[in-house]
Formats: sequence, C-alpha cells, structure tokens
Amino acid sequence: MLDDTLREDRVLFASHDSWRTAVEAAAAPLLEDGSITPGYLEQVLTNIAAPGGTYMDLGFGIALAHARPEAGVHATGLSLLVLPEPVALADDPAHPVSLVFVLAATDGEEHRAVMAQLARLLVNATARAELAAARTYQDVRGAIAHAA
Amino acid sequence: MKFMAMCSSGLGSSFMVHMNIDSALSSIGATGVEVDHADLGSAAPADADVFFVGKDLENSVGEFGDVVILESIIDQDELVAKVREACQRHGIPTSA
Repeated sequence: MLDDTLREDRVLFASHDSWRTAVEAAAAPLLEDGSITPGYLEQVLTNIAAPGGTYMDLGFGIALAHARPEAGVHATGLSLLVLPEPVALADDPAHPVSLVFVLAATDGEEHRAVMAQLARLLVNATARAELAAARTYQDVRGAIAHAA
Repeated sequence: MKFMAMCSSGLGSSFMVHMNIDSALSSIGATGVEVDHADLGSAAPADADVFFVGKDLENSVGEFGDVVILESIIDQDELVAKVREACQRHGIPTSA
C-alpha cells in the first residue's frame, strides 16, 4: 500500500512562500532517513528551475519533484508536503502547486509498485480534492484508502 | 504499434503517463499497442510510433514525429481522448 512509503513521518503540513523552501521541506524526511542524499535534493531543485522543469507540475496543483537515481538515491521513497496556500513552481505563476510530492526514484520493482499506486491515487478526482483539503495525516490516509 | 511516454528523468512522470496510457487503452478496448517510457535524452524518434509528453517539454521534442502534448499528465479524461485519437490516426480499432 502507498501508506507504507508515504508514512506519517513523511507527510508534512506547513506554509511556505517560495517553491524552493517548499521542496526542501518536502524532501527533509527522505534526507533525514537516508533515502536520498543532499546531492539528490540539489539536483531536484536544479531540474525544476531548468527550462521545461515545470513539467513536474502534474496538474491540479500537484508537483512530483524528482531526479535521476544516480543523483543520490539509496532507497525508494515518497514524501509529501501539503501547503494551505499554493507556491509558484520555479516562480512561474502558471504553475501554482499546493501538494508537493518528493520521489526518491529508483528503477526497481519497489519503484514500479509505488508509482503504480501513486498514479492510481492522483488520477482519482475525489482523492485529489481530499488531498488538497487534508490537514492531518489521517486525512491523507483517507484519500489513499478511497483511491485504492 | 508502440506508444512512448517521455520526461526528463524517465522514471517519474513518464512512468506515471505510461501506466495511465495502459489504463486508457484498456478502457477504450484498444489492443496490440505496446507502451513504454523513457527519458528525453535516450529516446530516439525510431523508438516508438507515438510519443506523449507534458506540455512543458513541448519544445524539447521537435525531432520526434507523432507527438501528443498533455495539458496534465494525471487528467485521465484528457488522456483517454488523446489515446483514442492516436489509435484512430494509426488505424487501431477502439470500442465505444
């Protein structure tokens, strides 16, 4: 299940004024538990700021921040920051995001399983609305359960 | 027939589009389409018949032939419509 990786300690609720601090905050749990290196986070920030980097805005205010595994991933993982007010990804007003997922991407079976579950969650319009309105971890678990 | 989803990393959003194309194909009853995903750096125009990318990468796919630009990669309604159009362009029968 998705909540095996999107655990309580990896789901954060906080306000941020800039996309950069929001992505840093969203990545902090993966950094702390050793799933990613500081270099991976740097690469993610660089990729978002690069031309075309706003493709990581999936639509509906949801960003999937990620880079290549060789930038510094030790274990597949996923974290989430829920923002009460959106930030503009890459300072581009066309890309307001209020849900920032950070993906520690690998290329193995576990990665495939996590991505399949995340895809199922995010194409579900009800679950998207529940995530955007989530203020507690239980709310996030509820959205995951509804989309499963 | 092969559809390919692409993004910069080849592991995040392109993989998600790949899986959503799979479900779109089954929902419209199209068969015989292979789906894969890749990063823009390693994909070549000969690798697939139709390429799917998010709109922010539109300018990076000039050399690819049949390109489908997605407004949102998690809008399944949009994807189903565009997958259906791609099937029609390539003579793949769809139901309903």
